[in-house]
Amino acid sequence: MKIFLINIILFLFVTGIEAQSYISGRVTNRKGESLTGANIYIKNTYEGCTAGGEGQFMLETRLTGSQILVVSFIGYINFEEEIALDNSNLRFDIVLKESSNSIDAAVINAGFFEASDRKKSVLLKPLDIVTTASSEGDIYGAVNTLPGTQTVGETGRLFVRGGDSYETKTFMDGMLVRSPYTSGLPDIPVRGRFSPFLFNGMLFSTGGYSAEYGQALSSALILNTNALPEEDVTSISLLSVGCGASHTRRWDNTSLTISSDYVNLTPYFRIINHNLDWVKEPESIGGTAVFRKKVRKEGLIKTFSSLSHSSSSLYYPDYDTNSDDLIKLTDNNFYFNTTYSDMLNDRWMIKGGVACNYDSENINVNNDRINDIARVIQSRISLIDNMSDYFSVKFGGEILSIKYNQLISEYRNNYDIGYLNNISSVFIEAEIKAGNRAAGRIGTRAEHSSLLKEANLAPRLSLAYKISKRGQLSFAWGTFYQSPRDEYLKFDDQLSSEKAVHYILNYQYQFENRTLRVEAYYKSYNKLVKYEDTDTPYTYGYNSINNLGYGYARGIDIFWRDKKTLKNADYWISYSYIDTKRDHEDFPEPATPTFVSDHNLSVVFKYWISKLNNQLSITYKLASGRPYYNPNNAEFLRDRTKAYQNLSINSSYLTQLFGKFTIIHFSVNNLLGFDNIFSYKYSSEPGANDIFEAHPVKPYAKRTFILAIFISIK
Amino acid sequence: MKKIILNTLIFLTLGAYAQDSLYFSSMKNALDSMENVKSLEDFSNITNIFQRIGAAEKDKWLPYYYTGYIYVILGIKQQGADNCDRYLDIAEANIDKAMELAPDESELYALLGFLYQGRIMADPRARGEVYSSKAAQSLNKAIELNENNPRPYYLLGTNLFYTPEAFGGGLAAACPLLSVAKEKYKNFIPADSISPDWGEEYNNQLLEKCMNKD
Repeated sequence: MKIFLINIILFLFVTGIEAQSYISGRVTNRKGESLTGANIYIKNTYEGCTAGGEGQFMLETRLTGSQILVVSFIGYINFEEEIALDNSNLRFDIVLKESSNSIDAAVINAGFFEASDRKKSVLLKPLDIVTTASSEGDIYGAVNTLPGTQTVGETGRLFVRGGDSYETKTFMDGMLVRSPYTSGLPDIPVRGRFSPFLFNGMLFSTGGYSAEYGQALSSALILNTNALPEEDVTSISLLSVGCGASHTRRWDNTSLTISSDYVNLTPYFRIINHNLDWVKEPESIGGTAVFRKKVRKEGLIKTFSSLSHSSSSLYYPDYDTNSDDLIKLTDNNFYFNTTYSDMLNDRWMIKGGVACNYDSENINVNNDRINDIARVIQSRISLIDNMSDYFSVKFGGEILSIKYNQLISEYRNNYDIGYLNNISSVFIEAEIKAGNRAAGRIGTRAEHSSLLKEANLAPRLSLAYKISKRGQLSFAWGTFYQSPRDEYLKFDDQLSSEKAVHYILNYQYQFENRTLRVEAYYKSYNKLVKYEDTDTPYTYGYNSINNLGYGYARGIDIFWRDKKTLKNADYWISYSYIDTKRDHEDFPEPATPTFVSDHNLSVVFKYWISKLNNQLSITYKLASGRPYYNPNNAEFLRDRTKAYQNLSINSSYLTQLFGKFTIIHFSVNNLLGFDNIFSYKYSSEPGANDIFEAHPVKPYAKRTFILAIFISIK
Repeated sequence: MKKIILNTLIFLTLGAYAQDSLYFSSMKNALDSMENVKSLEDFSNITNIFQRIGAAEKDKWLPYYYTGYIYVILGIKQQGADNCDRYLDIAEANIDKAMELAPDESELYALLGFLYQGRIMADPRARGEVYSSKAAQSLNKAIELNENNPRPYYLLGTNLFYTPEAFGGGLAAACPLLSVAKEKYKNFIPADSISPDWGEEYNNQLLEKCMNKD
């Protein structure tokens, strides 16, 4: 026993006189700032210390021999160096490099607004969409409060930076949605087909978007659907215009959501004052099924399908015959997509999917019948190689097949006109980060159209440079091609793609929940479709149709968001100025198109009243007058409507009904009853005094309202 | 006395104990110093110790657990969603790492639930719905894995305590859970002195408010 004790004492003694080394120094970043709190230690041992207030440290150790010194700090790349310890006295001044995914790193952001639940430095959250007054729960309505968009109230569609609505495309999980809007009668605004609750992220590009996407001259709205829902839930929605129900079932790695909704505007139009002559108020029924399956560790299969049927009919004023036209509309739409994403290993990621869309829109005008049928099939695959924190490459390809037919029955004649266009594309794009101050994305997209028999190369570039801790300067440039619209392609396959080039310069300043964003852009249009002005009934082609149209758009978009200054309040202000002209379609000379207001202002204000569990939201919109065609004026498109104004409010009250979580929404559009005029229509023949008579195009009702109750049962 | 010395010595001679005792004593030291933490610097000192232990001991989940725990506490104290997330993201990475080492550990699911509650606090309106079900799921999983663990009950209770009645919270909903937690705390014996053992004090404080309300 004694011997054992002695051994222990000896052991302690020996360790006591063992070699002692000192490692001291200072830890800083590349700017020379002290990194207080950095961890300095000998690899695979417990020996270490923490850097003090000036970044200085002193590490005492009895370890000997060859060891590895590690210095680590959150947001920086680990420093490692082999050192020899033998009674030594070492000094290290260590400079850590920022890791590219640190919060202050430069982020590529020119030309787009992002909404996401989890990502940093995004400007919007998905919930912001639903709670924005004037959106009426519609994604496109909410996006319309962002700068770069135009107020074109009679359509409900997105018009971006001088571009027509067809120049903006919607993508769901990377797959094209060809008919994202409900089908609508003339001068009655449409809505997005999909509920904002389906998505947990959104990227709204006002230009210069990634080479991953194509066939959109102006803008891409990229929506990402929710991953696996957390738990079983049943929800019921009761609206002033209809009702809906959905049920979500969650298993271990799988989930299924089935929902259906029914909308009938008959009671609504019976209550409100409106200027429409309905024969049958809009009615629609639809269903969606959403399936999710987690495979392996990181893989996810997402399947979405929706089916809808809608119908309506009304008398639409015909200013020539003075007898109203009876217009009947029925639409059947089916959309399906399934996508798969997975990590193949630590470096490689795969994403792929297929989508199909069938849309049949049937319009009867008196006794004539036009049936538009579009069938779209798309398949795409992309691979991402994350070579390092600083460099990644993404490449892939897709085939988009569009078959469009228009069946026309006019008197006793039947016509079937249409086209089939297979667009094959490949793209490659590299993302580079230089430290955390600069980031860049460079790529190109090649597209081939079977119908137009042409191939195009569309290069894209986006750069970001952090000029201070809070400020960032960004630039984007890109070329974009889009096949001409159905109404031209159905007659003519000699056309070529329309082309736009974007230049974007962006400055963003972010501090403590406040964001200022200023973006200037220039966009040139080329190869726009042009034809000679003649009366072109829908069964004949256009006169001397060609691709000689051109145009430009330039302007400045300003966005200010502040979640900090006012307690419980959040507001954003968007202002856009645009100067644009184009010479396309049957224009006799370059002119500003009818959908453009030079000045657009949106103010969105949200206030949370916690005592009442109520969120109040107010949106004010002001848009300067839009051009309209006046046959009494010899100068083309020189007349302007008066300015447009709208004040909308929305109240969301959170409560419990029968012990279930419930949201009660109430919104009023144009609360103050501004008398807005979108445009004017004219009789085709002059009346007395050789004057063409003007008929204003107005909203169908001065004020509109929605009451909705959402109940969720868990 | 002699017997104690003898026993200790025999204990000391046991095989792998040397490294394990270093692990144990280092953990214990770090945990003890957590009690007199005053500044952010003190915190980083302790998380640095846990980080070093974690890096050296490849199969121990507790260093990551405590790093996560500290960052959740720090995150909750921050103002503004972005600042909170900065800490909670680090916490989540540590909890993920710990879960790789101990996938069926009730304490880790409890801590993850706590973290989700922190995400809610950072931005209740935007995250309330999604993260409250995530938190509840995680905490229920913690109970499923070890129904004697008081912390999930305590966390479920605290969450309801601060949730407005309109959203199904309030004292009436919270107090029964806090009482269950109190019972569980009474009977809970941590595996050793470095295993998680927190929350009882605050649970009692909240329960007192429940009593006063009656």
